[in-house]
Amino acid sequence: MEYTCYNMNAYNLHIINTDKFKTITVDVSFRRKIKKEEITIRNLLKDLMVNSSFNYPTERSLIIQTERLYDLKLLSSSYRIGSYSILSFKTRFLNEKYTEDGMNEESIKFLLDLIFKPKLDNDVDKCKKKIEKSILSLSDNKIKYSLMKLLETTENMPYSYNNYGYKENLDKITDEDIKKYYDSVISDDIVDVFVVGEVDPVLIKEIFKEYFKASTFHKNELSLLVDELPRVRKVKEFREFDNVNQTQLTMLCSLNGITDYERKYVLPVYGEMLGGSSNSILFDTVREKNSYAYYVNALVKPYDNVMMIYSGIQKGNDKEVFKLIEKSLVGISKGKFDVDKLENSKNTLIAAIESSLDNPISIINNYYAKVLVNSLDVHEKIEKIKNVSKDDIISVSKKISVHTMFLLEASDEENND
Amino acid sequence: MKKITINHINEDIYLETLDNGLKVYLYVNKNMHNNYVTFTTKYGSVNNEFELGKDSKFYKVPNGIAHFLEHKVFVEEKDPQPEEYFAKSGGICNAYTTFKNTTYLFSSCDNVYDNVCYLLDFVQNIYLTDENVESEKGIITQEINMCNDRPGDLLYDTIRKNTIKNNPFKESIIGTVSEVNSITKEMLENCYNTFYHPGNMFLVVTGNFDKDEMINKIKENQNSKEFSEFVKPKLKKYREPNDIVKEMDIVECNTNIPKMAYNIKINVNDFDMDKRKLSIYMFIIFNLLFGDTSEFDEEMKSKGIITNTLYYNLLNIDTHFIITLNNSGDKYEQLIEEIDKKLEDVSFSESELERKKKVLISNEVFSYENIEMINEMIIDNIIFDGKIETDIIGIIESLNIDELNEVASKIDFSKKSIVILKK
Repeated sequence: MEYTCYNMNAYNLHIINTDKFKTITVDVSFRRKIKKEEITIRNLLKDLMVNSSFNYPTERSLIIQTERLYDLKLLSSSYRIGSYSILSFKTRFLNEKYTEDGMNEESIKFLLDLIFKPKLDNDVDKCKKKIEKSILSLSDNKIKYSLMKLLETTENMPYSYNNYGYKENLDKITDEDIKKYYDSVISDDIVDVFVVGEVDPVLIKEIFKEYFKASTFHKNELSLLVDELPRVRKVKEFREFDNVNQTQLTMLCSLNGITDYERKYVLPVYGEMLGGSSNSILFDTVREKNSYAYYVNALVKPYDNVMMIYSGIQKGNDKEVFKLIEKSLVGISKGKFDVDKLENSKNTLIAAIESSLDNPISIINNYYAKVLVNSLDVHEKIEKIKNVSKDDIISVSKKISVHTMFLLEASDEENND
Repeated sequence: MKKITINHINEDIYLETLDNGLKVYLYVNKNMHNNYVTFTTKYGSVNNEFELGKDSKFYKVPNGIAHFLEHKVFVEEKDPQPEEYFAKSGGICNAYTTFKNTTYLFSSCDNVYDNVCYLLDFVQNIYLTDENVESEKGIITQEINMCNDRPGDLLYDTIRKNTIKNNPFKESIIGTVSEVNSITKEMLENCYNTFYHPGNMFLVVTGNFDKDEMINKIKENQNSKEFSEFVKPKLKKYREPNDIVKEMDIVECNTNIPKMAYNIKINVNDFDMDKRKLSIYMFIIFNLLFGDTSEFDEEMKSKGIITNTLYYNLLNIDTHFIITLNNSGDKYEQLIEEIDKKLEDVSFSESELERKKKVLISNEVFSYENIEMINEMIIDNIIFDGKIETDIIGIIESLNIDELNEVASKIDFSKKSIVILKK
């Protein structure tokens, strides 16, 4: 794998040349500080830009073109990392070695045309309906829904924002708003471009030089890190009732005073050991030893300074399960865990990092992490993780405290079975 | 070892059949870091009635038992438990149960030879006690509750109940709470002894390893164990009518957006054609009619009847295909009418077919980029008809417009069943 980065003024072009894949993957990522009131329009733009374009003015004609390009895959997404909102356009297509000459350039040009020659006034209502539906669908997934409700209780923190957007914002968006917002994304957002596959970096650079038309404003970086939640003396508790079979128990923990070293290497190990997999402390305690749940997981968000724990349980068992989880957290901070468990968690994490090199999208994520938080390259990172000690885990665990609990449970009259 | 070359893609898969009947498939890719290994028994939720021992009477077990057994195979008498064993070398393990197979798997970068042997060891050994059977019931009940809270799962279960009359494909894989509670240690033992013989199982190893060393380790492991002679499980056969069970069903469900499934039951014997090829034609027919490049899709979206493209699924229940078109939204009544209308006159042009062939061929190449997908493709092939299809691209290239139109004309669209899920 050979990495080249070209500074193209308005953006950086990262090229990872490797013969591992039969495909080429291209990602154009825009980022800016996340604002709650922009989430909905950003999602709408994300859909509109891959729905049709100047050259392919209907959705159908655009998809037929992707099929002609040997079923080129197209994906746009809008998501949050820390304080940033990322708007990403990705494509993956067969290397022209397996199709016909000229297809690499044509496929990249196809993606860039979507970005720079959009058709933003077409199918707006249709795309709005799609967004509305995705907002409504959230409650079909009780785990996601409960985690969203849990995070919403923190009110103004970036992770409390609904990534699907807001119905009340959606209704007000005009064609003019979309055009303006598009212009601001193109001129104000910070842009990184990634290309992974068996390519000649110089040729790729030429293609981008010709078709990538972004302005060259000076763009300010900002910190990715989200402010800490203050520790609370008493855990806040929220309950919601619905027609459900299973109670969703969710917990939010604050992380306070985490160092850069802990954030990058210790917290991932801690999260893996606590509730990352079926070999975790929570899985052992809540599921295997006590049969309270089918799943119980911990999810650490180092750059949000929070951790979430969630489990699906029988109604009425929440107090016992909460106690067990709390006991597990305290146990770790008192060093009551096997060194073997720690070593296993490190090994699981290291294997995940190693196998990320088998997938073009994960390779891009690794390089993007380098851009965003200056993370080390894979091999150095693995060395650091190997060296995480029991003391490191104990000291980071003392910086973690339960902040809020949210329960989604069956209303009493409906819980007859 | 027998070398199986996939035509047009130039990838090789190796097959060895061991003395005890176990089939081993190996695929090596030196570019990868990870290994993905699956150990599968041809035993799933539909095999719930079979001959036991010499007694030629059929033995019936509760629904959900294959899945229950999957949970129990994972438990070892002495620590380490499988999760912990694999985690030592950074591996992760899992298992899943489908209608026709139960698969145990792990992925790991390091220690792959020992890990493969360990996978064989823990699956080929079961530890059951009355207590550990009881304690599993609480966990599975929570898993059932989780599924019951997912509208998608409820829809899928209802579709099968309303289209399939006799075949156990109509039942849920996981079973109901009362069925799960009726499962005993003895039943689990009987199922294990019948279906977990090496002759009924296959191992698929995909990743970066030395194939000769791998097969030697596997042979060594298997030769050190004793197995009774393999008796091929005798499964009950079901006569499945062409008629569906229920034409229209509206099910109450806690969801904000109504969900609609339009299902068609197709007897595969109406077509004088290889089933794999037939299933590709079915995909093309429904994709051209309702997929994201169809006129139908464009028209329905512009009229506001749908917001997302109809989702297509094919369930193969041996004698029949159950084709499902899924969508969610308020205007399902209009949508059903429009689908009915569209199916009144079905024919295609050559250029449409050629475009879809290009798509299918490029997707075959795409799938060889990922060792998990290759592994799953091998499993699918074996479960489908016991062998790896070496010329899938050849089959796709051989598709032609006359045959496509003929297949389409033979489908009896009147065998339909509709399921609506709403508040």
